[in-house]
Amino acid sequence: VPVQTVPEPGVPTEDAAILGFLQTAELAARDLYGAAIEAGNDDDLYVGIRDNHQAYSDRLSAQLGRSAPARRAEALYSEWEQRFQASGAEFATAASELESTLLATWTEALGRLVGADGARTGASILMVEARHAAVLADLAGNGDDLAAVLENSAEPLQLNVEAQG
Amino acid sequence: MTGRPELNRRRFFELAGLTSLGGVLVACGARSSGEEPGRVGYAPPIEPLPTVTVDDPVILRTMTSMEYVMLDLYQWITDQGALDEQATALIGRFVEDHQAAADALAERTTEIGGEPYECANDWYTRRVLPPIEAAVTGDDAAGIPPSPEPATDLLRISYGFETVMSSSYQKMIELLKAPELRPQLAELGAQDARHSAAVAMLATGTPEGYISPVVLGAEETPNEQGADTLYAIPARFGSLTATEITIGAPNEEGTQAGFAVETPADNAYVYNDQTCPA
Repeated sequence: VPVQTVPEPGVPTEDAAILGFLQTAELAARDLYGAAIEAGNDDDLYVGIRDNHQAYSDRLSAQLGRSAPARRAEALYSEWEQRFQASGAEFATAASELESTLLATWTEALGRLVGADGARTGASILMVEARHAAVLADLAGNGDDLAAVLENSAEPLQLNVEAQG
Repeated sequence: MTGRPELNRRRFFELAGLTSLGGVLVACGARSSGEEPGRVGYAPPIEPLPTVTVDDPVILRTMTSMEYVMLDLYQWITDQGALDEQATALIGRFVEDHQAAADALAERTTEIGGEPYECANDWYTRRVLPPIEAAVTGDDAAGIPPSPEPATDLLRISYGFETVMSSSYQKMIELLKAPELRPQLAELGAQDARHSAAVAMLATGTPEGYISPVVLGAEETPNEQGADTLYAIPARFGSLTATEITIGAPNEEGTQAGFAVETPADNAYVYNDQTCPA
């Protein structure tokens, strides 16, 4: 008869700020891909990844309710905007690095989230963002470099919940 | 003529019915010896199941045992000698990663006061792997022919199990009581997701194997043998559902065998009082 010791369900107040920050990061990623697609990088892969980031933001909105910021992190968008206007391998490299950064940020956030709901959402998102990063590394021409495809050396975004854009 | 009523057919059924009803009422009124349901025969008394706890050490021990399942699986895959040079190199890298993961989890188990479990998960070793391996090698006794395309099947098995590992870490992250343990499991799960993506790109080719049409809002159609194409990005969110592995020689209808591999649950957890099989 197994008894499980699991965290409490729901989104505690301290988690809402972290998840809100991550929503702004996901929306910045969505807009960066959107701008790249408009600039001619309209491959199905990029459309799919853009829509995935929109879906992650939607999931966070559902959890956060009215406290969801529902806007992109402007500082993050500005930092990456120019690199997302490139094309070919240069653009794929930038996209792979952004995905690795988001993955690292979610990974760090999981260690700070108190409730189970935020942890569940974060885990389900980062497992796919890891796949985004691997695919984009291959598309950038690094398919034979196993370290580029399989490892993540990116630094996480600073989880400064005051600076949401 | 006596006062005794005639026992005709109708009267007989009335008496039989009353007798049966009386018997039921008597039985209902009997005192029970306890709350438990009645038992028939001379079976020994039921012993209550022990209460076990799924705490953080159990989660780390379980995932350590799953890493050893992966190491055993890749040893078996390598032993088949069917993979080409590129696939063999990829599997070699996976083996390094899984061994490092197993060692890191065992060390962390000790740090949180648990006893590391450094051997393969018995449930998967005895129940999950054998039929999958038989679908590739064949089993004369069971009437299973060997696979005509072992290299393809071995990559499908690798993809399936790496996906299951990623899903397992995803599930365990939610179950962990201590948030500070989550990042380590997230890193290991993300690494297995990348493994799965790399196998998909190798097996399916690129760019065809990059992203599933399902993610793009279209439908995925299995091939003639019933197998789905392997995609590096198969879904929008990480999934906790069973992963289907379709492999083996086609049957007379032309379809291959499908094996649904699930993430560890109650029967596969490595509880704190369990030790490695002798």
